[in-house]
Amino acid sequence: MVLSEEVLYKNKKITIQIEKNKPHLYIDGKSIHVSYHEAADTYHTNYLGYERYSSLEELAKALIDNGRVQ
Amino acid sequence: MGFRKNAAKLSPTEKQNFVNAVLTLKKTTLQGHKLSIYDEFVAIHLAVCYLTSGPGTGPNPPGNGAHNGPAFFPWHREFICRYEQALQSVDSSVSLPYWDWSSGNSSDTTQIFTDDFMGPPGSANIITAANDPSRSETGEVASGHFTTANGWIVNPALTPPGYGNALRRSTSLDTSDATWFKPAVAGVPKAFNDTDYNHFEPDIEGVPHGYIHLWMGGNMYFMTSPNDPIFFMHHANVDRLWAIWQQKYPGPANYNMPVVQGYYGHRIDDYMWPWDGGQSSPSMITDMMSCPSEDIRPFLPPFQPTDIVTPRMVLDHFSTCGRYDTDLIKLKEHIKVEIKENIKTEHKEIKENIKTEHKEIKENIKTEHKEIKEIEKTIQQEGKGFKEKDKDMERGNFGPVVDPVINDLINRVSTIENRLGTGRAFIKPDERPPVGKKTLNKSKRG
Repeated sequence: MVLSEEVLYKNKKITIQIEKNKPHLYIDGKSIHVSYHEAADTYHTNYLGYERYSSLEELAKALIDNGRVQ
Repeated sequence: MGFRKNAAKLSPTEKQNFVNAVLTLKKTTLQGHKLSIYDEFVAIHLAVCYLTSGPGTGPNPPGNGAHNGPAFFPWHREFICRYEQALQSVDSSVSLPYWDWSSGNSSDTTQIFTDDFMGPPGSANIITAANDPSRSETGEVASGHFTTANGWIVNPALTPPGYGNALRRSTSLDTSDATWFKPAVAGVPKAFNDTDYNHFEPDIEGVPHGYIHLWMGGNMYFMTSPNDPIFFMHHANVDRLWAIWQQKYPGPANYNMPVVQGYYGHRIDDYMWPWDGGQSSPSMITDMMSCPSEDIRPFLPPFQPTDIVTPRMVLDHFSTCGRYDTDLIKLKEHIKVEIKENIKTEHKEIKENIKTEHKEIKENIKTEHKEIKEIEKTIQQEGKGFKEKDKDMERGNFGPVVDPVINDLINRVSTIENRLGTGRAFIKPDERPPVGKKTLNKSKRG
């Protein structure tokens, strides 16, 4: 079963999908490489180095805030 | 195997030798390779974050083979071990020192970032925090060993676009920083309260380890963080923290537990890329922030198909690679065991030597005894001979005389004696002087 969620943030569409514990993140349709640390229950993206986020939405917003996604 | 020491406590010679070895790796490109030996480590660290294909036989398909999962510790342990071995191929006296940012002593940090060692904070061509992709105000390292003038060039294929080819760091490496540094230090004792690996690992990887990367800023921020040579000393300390935790929670029973987690490559007997015989491979890099080149694979060194490493194989760092001067408990035990083994070996050798010498002595005695018996026999025989000679001498038989003249005289004397004994004239008729007939007749009338 795929869990899907869409959020609009600063004129950008954030799409979050979770399938079998594997996260997928899209910002304006662009796939963003993310990973999930099961033990820590945190999300991470290579775009933001060594930072950790408690949710994909928070991670996506950080990407938009820091201009990582054009 | 040398001991890894606190970097702040190295002697000037040790620091110089270490820096020289690092610079040599940076300047050396092996034949047929696209990157220097040093930069290949950078490429490997980037590529492991983007694994895509592989057996995928675990609960999740391959992903980040070295971060955000149980393999964080074992993968980096092997990674810095390979780096240390590369340094030792340049200078065998070098061991990888650890940067003890976790001690709480600011001098353990401030004494490292000096011109004569790992270089100062960034100071040239400053980029503000708002504009710097590492989200810190950074500058180029402008003095010391790791400047562009001294040959420390960050490979443009391995740095974010527009970030330049100079080593960049935060302009302020302040140990009183409350955003990253102090929380990093505070996170360590908290992690040491964890009694299972799957809490300890993220509690070190996340806040202490990750926050030091963020505190450093600049190149240390990205997945190409080994561009800054401080990376390896940082991870030596991270590894040392795991080693200390392992003293209380050792072995396979205390890895990736209580519930097995993670992508392929994170479980205890999974092969860890790139030491996986080609099971997994990195994909194209799509985020452009870690690397302008979309395909890192052409930059990677060749890997041997038989070069296999699993997390299980590196659990015991003491026996494999990387001993720390804080491994006191293990060190004592290890010395005891080593001494016992040495005594056992020497005892065995001594026994063998005694056995061999005993055998040799026996053989020698046997041989000499035989020789003595031969001599005795000879003496006996000669003694017999002498006795016979004595008897002969009593009889007047002096035995054969070697000298022919004397021998002839003796024979003549014997002849004379014999003739005297028989009453016959001892002068042979043909030896008599000539005598006339008249003389003989006068005798008759007389």
